[in-house]
Amino acid sequence: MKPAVAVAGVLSIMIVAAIGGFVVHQSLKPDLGSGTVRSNPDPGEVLGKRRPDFSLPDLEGEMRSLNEWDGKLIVINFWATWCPPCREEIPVFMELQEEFADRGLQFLGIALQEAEEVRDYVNETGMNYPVLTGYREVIKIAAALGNYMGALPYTVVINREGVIEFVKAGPLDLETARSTLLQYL
Amino acid sequence: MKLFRFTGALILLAIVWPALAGSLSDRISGVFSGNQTDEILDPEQAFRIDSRIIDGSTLEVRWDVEPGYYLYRDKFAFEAEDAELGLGAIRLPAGEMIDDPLFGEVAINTGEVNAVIPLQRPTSGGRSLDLKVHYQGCKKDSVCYPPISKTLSFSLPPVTSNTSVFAAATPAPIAEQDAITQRLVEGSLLANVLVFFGFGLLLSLTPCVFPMVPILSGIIVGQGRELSTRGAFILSLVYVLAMALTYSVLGIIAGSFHFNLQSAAQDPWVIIAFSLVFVLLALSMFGFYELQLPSGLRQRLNTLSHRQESGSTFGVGIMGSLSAVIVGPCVAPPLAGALLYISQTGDALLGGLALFAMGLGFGVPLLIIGTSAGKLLPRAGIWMDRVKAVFGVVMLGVAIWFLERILPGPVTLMLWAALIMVSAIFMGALDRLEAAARWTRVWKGLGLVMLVYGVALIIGAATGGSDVFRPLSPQLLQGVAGVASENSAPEFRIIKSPVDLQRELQQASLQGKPAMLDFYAEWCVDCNQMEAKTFPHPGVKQALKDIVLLKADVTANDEVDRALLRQFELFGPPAILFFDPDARERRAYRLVGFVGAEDFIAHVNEATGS
Repeated sequence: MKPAVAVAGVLSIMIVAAIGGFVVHQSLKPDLGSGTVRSNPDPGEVLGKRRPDFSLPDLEGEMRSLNEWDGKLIVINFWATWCPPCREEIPVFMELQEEFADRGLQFLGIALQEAEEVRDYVNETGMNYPVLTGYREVIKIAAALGNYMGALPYTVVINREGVIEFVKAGPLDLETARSTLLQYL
Repeated sequence: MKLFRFTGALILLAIVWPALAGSLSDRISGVFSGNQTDEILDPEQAFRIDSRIIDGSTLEVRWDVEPGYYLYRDKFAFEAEDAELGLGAIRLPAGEMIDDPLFGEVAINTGEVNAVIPLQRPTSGGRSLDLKVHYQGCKKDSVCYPPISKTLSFSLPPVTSNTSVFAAATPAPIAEQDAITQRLVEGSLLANVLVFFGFGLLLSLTPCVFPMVPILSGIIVGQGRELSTRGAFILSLVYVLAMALTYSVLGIIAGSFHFNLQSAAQDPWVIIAFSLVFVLLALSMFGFYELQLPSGLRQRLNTLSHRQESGSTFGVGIMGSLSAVIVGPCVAPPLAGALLYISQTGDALLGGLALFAMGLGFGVPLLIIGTSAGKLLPRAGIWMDRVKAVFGVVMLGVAIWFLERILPGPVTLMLWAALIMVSAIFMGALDRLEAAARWTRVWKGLGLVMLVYGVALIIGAATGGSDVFRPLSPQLLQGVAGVASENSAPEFRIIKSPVDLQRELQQASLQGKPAMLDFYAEWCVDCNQMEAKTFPHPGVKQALKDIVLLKADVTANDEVDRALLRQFELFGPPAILFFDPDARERRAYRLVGFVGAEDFIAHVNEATGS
């Protein structure tokens, strides 16, 4: 075979591959052109920022404001009963709450659900920290704390000065949670 | 299937790394980083949703769930945002059961999740439907997403006939050409497999089959002992089956990647690139150059295949699939077309079966040659090159079919004319008959028919026609004068930017009038048909009398045009949007595709509430 012919063959294959690549790239792009895809800002954006103010109803329907726990190291955990990974880490948080309560650590559960949906679960597991509930409001608060997609569980650590120190989407194990909290206690 | 998908992904990754790299970086930017490491996709990407109209009374919603993620089966919910329209029993895949400590056994769905939704429709006419879809899912052992609700819009075709009122879920309107593809795609599995078998048979009539003959003969003769006809047949069959299997792997890969031609083909550059590739492929079919693997690679494969122990079934199988690779580039052009078609369907099963059938078709002559131990070799001749040339003409046709979307109608008509007429000349339409054989006469006759049709196309093109199948429409023959006087189309106000639109809509709102916005482009076949057939109709003019008519000409497809299209999540024309007197779009009444005068009048009356 003449070299020129071989070159032409290889070139054509490369062109096909390149176009194939472009097409694959196009087809992998989610939701072309709709302009509605939110880019998820780096949660680094909220790190080091002052926490937002908010209030939400607790399980008794009483409005509770975040200010109530000012001066403590606050760990906010967004969760729901329908979220298996959330349920798995709750015992971890209960244990840490017990261990560090006297050092000024305050866990705060925020359920992306209505109060009646979580009440039984909270009683059965004997959760030893307050649980606030809500739906739209909770999604907004989660977004303000860097969780733009409302994914659960989502954990935020706010230091005694009210500055966001740590965020994490997905469950935390006991080791990681303890060593993280010890940095800020 | 998952394994195939994975292998497919690996192979494609090697070929198209640069493209994938781009997309990966897109994904990574959508991932939580900060002081954590595991990657969490945006729910839009974790559960990619897609939908289509199966027929006038059946919809399909499909989720492509990323590996490692799942959706709760009992959280799926569907609502028709239309009181008159009911949903039947929805079919969802059974899914798998997982044990949940709190809720007990819970069914989840992973991978591809197809929901088939039967509609209970009161009327048979075309109508639009907004379908509200709810779903919820998690990433395994990581995070769960809040419940997601989405509204999908469909323009349903009439139940009984499949006319050209074709539209699919936004945001992907279907141009008329794509409607043809759509119908092909919806053809039955069996029909597809048969067509591909025939396609393979046709391919086997090209010289591409030649490199395989010596390999196969080698196996059979290389037996050393006298091989019975039955033995020879079995060996050939193994060889052919292995080859067909290799092709079916290609088909499965193509089918696993659901490539949306409709949306990709809205970009003029993609269209141009595609048609260029097909022209290049066609040229190789005409023998201007030959597509082959580089000789070094080819030789290595050849030696590899010879090293296989001939006669052993396994060795023969290996040779069969190696041969498929060796002749690959020779059959690349038609294969590219076939794979493009398969990837349209997004159906890995269909892809695998169809390409397997094609491989079998391609192998039929090999079976005959092998069984007869090489006695029945086809005589190579000019006829083989002719078969290749036919493929070449088809490839050029595909190129023009692509270009149709961006070229003005008369220009594409000229291209068709040129293709048909040049083919006719090659068929000997103008050659002198010298006591020629019967077949030559048949070819000349067919050539003449094509030549005359080509002439008709040129006349059509010269008078501004654009329909390949009706180049000389009565309207064109009558002349334009009669059309202009009485049946003039209603007057549209031309707008360009989103700001223009805002202003015009406010104006209409002040007058308490509804508005209609027509996206138009010269290269849009459906739009031109609407202009020529629907808008000039006296009844249509009457129906549009009290509506502010706006038109956005997006022929240029520039930044401003695209901004306007994006505002409505449209890829391109055709699209007709309706706004109520408060300047809000009545999205359910979006029209996509050609609609005849009567249907259009009914639709306008409904959309403007009169």
